[in-house]
Amino acid sequence: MAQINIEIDGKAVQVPAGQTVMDAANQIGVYIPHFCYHKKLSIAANCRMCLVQIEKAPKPMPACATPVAEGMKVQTHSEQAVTAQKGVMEFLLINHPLDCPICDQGGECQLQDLAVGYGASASRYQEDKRVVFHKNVGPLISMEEMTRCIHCTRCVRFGQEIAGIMELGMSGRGEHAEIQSFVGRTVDSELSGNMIDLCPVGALTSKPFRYQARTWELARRKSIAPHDSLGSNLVVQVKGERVMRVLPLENEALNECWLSDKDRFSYEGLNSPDRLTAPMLKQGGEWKEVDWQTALRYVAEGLAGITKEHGADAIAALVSPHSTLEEMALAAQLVRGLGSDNVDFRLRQTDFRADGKRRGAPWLGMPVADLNSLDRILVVGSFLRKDHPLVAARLRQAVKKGRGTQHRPRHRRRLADAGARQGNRRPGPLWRSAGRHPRGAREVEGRGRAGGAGGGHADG
Amino acid sequence: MLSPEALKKIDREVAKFPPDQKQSAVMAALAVAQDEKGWLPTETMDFVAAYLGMAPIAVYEVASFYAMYNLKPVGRHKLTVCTNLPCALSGGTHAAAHLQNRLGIGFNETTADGRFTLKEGECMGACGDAPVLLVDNKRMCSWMSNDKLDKLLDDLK
Amino acid sequence: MSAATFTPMTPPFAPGAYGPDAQIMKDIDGLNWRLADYLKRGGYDGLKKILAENVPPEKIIAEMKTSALRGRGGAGFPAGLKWSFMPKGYTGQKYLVCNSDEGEPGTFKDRDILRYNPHSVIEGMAIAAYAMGITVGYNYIHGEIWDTYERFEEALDEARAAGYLGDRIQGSDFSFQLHAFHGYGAYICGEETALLESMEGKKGQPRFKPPFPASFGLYGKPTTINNTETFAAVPWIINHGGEAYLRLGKPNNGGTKIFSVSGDVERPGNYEVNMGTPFAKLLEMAGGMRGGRKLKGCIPGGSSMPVVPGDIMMECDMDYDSIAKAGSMLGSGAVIIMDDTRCMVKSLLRLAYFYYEESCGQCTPCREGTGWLYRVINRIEHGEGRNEDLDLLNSLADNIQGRTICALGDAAAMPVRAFIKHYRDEFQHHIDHKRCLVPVYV
Repeated sequence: MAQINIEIDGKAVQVPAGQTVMDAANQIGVYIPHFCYHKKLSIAANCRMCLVQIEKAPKPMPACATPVAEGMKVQTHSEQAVTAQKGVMEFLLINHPLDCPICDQGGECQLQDLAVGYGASASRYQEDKRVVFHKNVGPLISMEEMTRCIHCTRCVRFGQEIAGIMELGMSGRGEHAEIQSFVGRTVDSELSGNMIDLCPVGALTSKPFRYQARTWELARRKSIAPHDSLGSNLVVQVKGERVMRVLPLENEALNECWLSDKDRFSYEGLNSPDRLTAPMLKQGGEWKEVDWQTALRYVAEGLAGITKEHGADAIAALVSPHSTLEEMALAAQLVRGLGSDNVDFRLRQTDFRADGKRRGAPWLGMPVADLNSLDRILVVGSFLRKDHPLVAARLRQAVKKGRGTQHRPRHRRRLADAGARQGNRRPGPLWRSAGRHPRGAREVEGRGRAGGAGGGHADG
Repeated sequence: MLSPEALKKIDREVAKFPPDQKQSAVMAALAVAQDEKGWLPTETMDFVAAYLGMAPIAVYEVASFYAMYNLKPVGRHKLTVCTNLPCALSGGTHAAAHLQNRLGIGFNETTADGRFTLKEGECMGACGDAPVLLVDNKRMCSWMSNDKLDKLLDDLK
Repeated sequence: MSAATFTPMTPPFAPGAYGPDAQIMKDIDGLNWRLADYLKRGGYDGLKKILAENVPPEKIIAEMKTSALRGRGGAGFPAGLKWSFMPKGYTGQKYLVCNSDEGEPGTFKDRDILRYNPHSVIEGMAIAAYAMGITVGYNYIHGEIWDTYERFEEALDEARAAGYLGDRIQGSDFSFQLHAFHGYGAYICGEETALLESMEGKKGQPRFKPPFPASFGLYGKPTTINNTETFAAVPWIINHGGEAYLRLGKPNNGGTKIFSVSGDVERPGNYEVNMGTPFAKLLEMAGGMRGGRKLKGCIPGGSSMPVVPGDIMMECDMDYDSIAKAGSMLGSGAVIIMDDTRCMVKSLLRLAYFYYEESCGQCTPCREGTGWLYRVINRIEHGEGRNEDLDLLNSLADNIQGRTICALGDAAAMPVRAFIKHYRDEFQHHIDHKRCLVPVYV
């Protein structure tokens, strides 16, 4: 692709044609303030915070939506640019409640951060502020303070473009526009928690984390997602001994900047009163809490008894596949130490005839990131959205890419057919689902339609 | 949910667009549905969404964006009076005031007998006919002097 | 002010109802809208000639350029040039769209064209489609004029039945399918990309440009959008030549223009005059000032355009360039007349309310700024204005204008600036004395 030379704040930068001023600025580390722009979402250009001065342009232009052109000279901090940015900030704040002290987003709020640089100390707006009624969209996302919303539509675009299911929208118009679900419905996407991360203000916050801690009180521990079978990277945030929340850790090769809800919110189980935290023995039909010494002795005696009576081969261990490699290795060591070789983690497998015939470890066969660019996909026996939500998100991107070069209506029909008829037809050109979950094919493609508000690029 | 006649009308609109662009008919479909139901209850919007293969919230976005859809029940007749500047210069605000007096209600209110809902409208593209008002979205009434307004109210049962 | 002191213009009209210069509305009596009447007036001759003679599309576009026909919807962009932007050699589907979503306060010309001369638009669109190699078109009609929408549907049926629309028009290789589409109450859909979004079954929120509709339009396909009046002028240009059309008006301002005159005149209505006609003459056609009062101000191009004081307006000619010189814009050709009994604060307040109501809510400056403008003007009108308010209004207008995706932000800001510029004393009087300068209220 042709390279374009442009200049940002006096620094020369070369970027491929078709990129935006924002892309170019990111490349050389120039920060342009923004709210609606997000690298993983379509361009909306609606917040207008990223207005910059471009030589020869009669008015400030949004960096996120302005394509680079040869010889372009951009100024991000000139008087014209800063006046425009401050003007936008003033408008954003007139109806914002400025309730930072009681807002969960405080300390990690884009609006709060940028208001420091671009906001005035007092407002010229003396009228009543808008009040937006709160909404209940289920147990995960809190939409209690929608007055804070700045209408960037990141959450809406996420639903349409990444989650593949449009559950939030912006209803009404003008000053009365508000983000909401369809009349009282809940948000059920298995990726919904990402909308909380995307929200640049405290409008969409985490319900389980609500009023639990401040971001600066939390220590961060990197970890790996236990539930999405992808090994998504995450950050476990703890206060003292307690896990307070879990957030994605960006890794382009795996989970990008997303995390599935099951990995994001499962930490609640750690603090559950139902959790088994001490050893128990069942005696006389009743569970009784005992100390570790008693419990271990009981197990050791039991195992020794079995070995003596029936031989070591009568002992076997099934390890949860959610266990870490280290835990599994220790379990294997223990069982083998007892003289048995019966240890396995494949709880849902019944046919082991391939054992010993296949070489190497079974794996996907390609890097996870390559899923986005596949042109044919055969899914067998999986309800992708529920089983592997982030794999589903990647396949959704593959389907979307396919649309650009091939005729879409035929795809759509075949996609539906592939699901509905389960193998009565030749494989479709792009997608085919077989096995137990025919619905999967349609669901992964997304019932909500992509390409919503504003912007948009040519589909080639 | 909708009558066969209504569905026929919607199908006629759907046929105007490419087969994979059924969503283009959503405004027409909502207008047809509203004509039949008087307003747009949630289940009607749900039905339209399913009929056109859209997300329900996408239908709601449309219904709440365009001013002529009724998201709440209205009286048997909805009167929308234009009070924009060109109309106001030719008596639009007086016509609105006359209706408010006659009906004893303000804008966005419905008479106690459920006969009339009064709305303030924005430009209808008929400023030369001012004062103008729309009856039930479909019937434009031009040059509405007080006498003509009185007669209109009497005629609308 | 009592409503009508004149006889309403109800069909059939006397000959020449739209003025002696009328071309699009020539011989229109309000009843002769059907195909048979149109054919009697020489209708579809242009289309038939093009098809019979296989006129090369480039020649039609060249003729359009010669005519200097500028877009009649408001922006005044040269129509022939716009047509030439359609990608050549593109083999996929392309679309033609007519913008009849006429909702700019003061504008009501497209409604008259559609209900009294619908076939002129159909023929104009068919010719345009031929010139740009387009096979499918839509006419997006303002939702409030439902009877006009239904009439246009009827006209489409007539044209299809007579072979002026559909497959292999008049036995040629040219096919063109044309459909009617209705809005349902959103001013913003008059903005062409909002209109496209609306046609795709979404909220009418304007798209960021580029890409422009010529490369990414309806359903992402190359699309040309013109106003109703623009299309209605096309058959005349084809029949008489671009040169003749240009000569009707002035250089760079070709042809006739239908002006919608509203407000304080004796005979509000549509008048079709040659471009460059003096404003005074247009005012006279509309019966002069109502009650013989004095012209205080005039918004010459629809509510979004700057107001012009009466004395300047009286010296002005009605064409794009002259009105620009007078400090405003011809826009859609909506001439709103205000006499010396009108309060300019109250007038501006009503316009500010309109933009506040009609902002789509997408961009921050317009969503938040239009409400703020309205509230400040509202407090001035109600005797609660503050001394700094006029500067505040200008500053807010600065922060809105040129900062939004579409022109609605500009449309909200420009009237504010112009009203304050020309009638500052009146605004100041409201602030200082907490009452109106003029005795009679709008």
